[in-house]
Formats: sequence, structure tokens, C-alpha cells
Amino acid sequence: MKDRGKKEDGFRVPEGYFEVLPGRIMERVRQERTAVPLRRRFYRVAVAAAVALFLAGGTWFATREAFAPSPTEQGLQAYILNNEEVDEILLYDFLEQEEEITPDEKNGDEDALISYLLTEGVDENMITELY
Amino acid sequence: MESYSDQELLDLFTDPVQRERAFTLIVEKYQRRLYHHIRRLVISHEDADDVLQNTFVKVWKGLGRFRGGSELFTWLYRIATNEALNFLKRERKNLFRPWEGYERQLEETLESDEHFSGDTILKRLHKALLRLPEKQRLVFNLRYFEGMRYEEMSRILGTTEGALKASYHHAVKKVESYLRED
Repeated sequence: MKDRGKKEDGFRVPEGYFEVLPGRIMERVRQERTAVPLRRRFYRVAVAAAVALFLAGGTWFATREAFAPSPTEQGLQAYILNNEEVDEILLYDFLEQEEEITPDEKNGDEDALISYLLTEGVDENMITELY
Repeated sequence: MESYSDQELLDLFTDPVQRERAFTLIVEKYQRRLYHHIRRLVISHEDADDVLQNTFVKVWKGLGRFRGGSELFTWLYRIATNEALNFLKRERKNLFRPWEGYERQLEETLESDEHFSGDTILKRLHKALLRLPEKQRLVFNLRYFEGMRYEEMSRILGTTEGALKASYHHAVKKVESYLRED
């Protein structure tokens, strides 16, 4: 079997096949050209939506601790007022007292306690030892 | 039809206004050679038509990036060969009657092919070729039917000339043996 250049392979095509083929291929190329940008546009929108979803989820996850109520004084007040049957005036009095305690008043309390102990008949010497 | 060199066609393709015309001229210039190259591998006209169209669609997509590092015809043959081999691989996976083997089905297609006008000896040769390993069949086709030089074949298939000569030699021996058996 020797090589003698091109040889007939016996394969034929339907009549007119090669005349119409360039036009058919060009038609397919045009179809692909319009189909590809649509597909690309879809991918772009899908990627943008996925990124936005990811960022929103990440932001929510990172900030949910920051938005949780902290046990501040105002928060505590609101909680007690909303959830417990506490007299509002008494609560404010209590908070004001806590804030406004002075050394003089502390001494005043001491004096009141001493006079109370005396009226109750506690020995004066004992009281002097204690204070 | 006007006769353009490959370089002239490539230059024409770079002009956006002339792009479609240049591409059509490339299709017209190479469609017959590529068709027969593909047809000898896939056997049926309908399959060859599909593979050839896919080949040229890929050529269109890649031609803008083709820098002429190789000859246009080498590049076209490489795309057509890859498309045909991928087609055969897919067909083997999706066999209608897997127990018969793909080559047997190709033989049947050849037997009943209304677009085959070769004589009995040529048909026997094609049937013998279907028994060869794919690469040997490919090398035999390019060498025997197209008279392609090993150097060109080497650029298309990315194989050394020595390996191609060995493939062809084995293919010829096997084909001779098959033809003697039948």
C-alpha cells in the first residue's frame, strides 16, 4: 500500500449541500451571537443578586449582637415598667436616691438609727462602742 | 469565486465591516476538505454535517484571537479533529445497543449509507479502518486519503513525526491483514 497523494473516499453529500452550507453556518453564528449576550446578562444579574444576598446576610449576622438591648438604666426602667407591676413614682424615687446619696445624708441616717436604738432601750455605751 | 490567501482572509476578518464576508470565504475555501476529514471519522452524512457546523462556529469564536502562529489550515484541521473525536466519544457513551459496540453500528451506517458511492473494495477498506484504534484510523485517513505530509500531521495532532510514521505503519499492516481475512 503506497501513498499516492489524495484519494477518493467514496463519500458523497446531498445535492447543493456545499452551496447552502456557508449560509447555514452564518445563520448559526448570528443566533449564537444574540444568545450569548442574553446568557451573559442572566449570569451577571444572578451573580449580583447572590453578592447582594451574601452582603445583606453578613451585615445582619455581624450587627445582630449590636442591636440586642443592653442592660442600661433606661432599658432596665423600660423593662420593669413594661413587665412588672411596679409603681412608677417609687421607682424614680429609688433611682434618684441611689444617685444623690451624700455623706451628710449618710450621717443623718446614722443619727436616726442611734435615736431609734436609744428609744428601744439599747444601752448607750454599747451604741457608742458600735459607732 | 475570488481567490484569497489565508493571510488576506485573516486581514479581512479584522475589519468589523468585512468580518462576515471574510468568514464566509473561509468556510467556502475549507468546507469540502474539512467535511471529508470529519465524514471519514463519523461515517454518516448527518453527523458529519453537525460536527462540521460546530467546527465552523468554534472557528468564528476563536478567529479573532488567532494570531497566525500556525497556518490557518492546520488550526482548522485541529478544531475539526477535536470536534469529531469528541463526537465519537459522546456517541460511544450513549450507545443505543451497547452490547454490539460502536464500530459495529458505524459499519451498519456505512452499509446502508445512500451518500456512499464507493465500490465494494472501498467499502471493505472503510470497514477495515473501523476496526483500527481511533488514532491509527485518523493517521491512516490523513496520510492515505489526503496525502498529508507527516510534518503537517504532526502540527495538527501534536504528535512527533516518528510516532505518526509508526501509527501509519501499524495501521497499514492491520488493514492488509483484515482485507486478507474477509
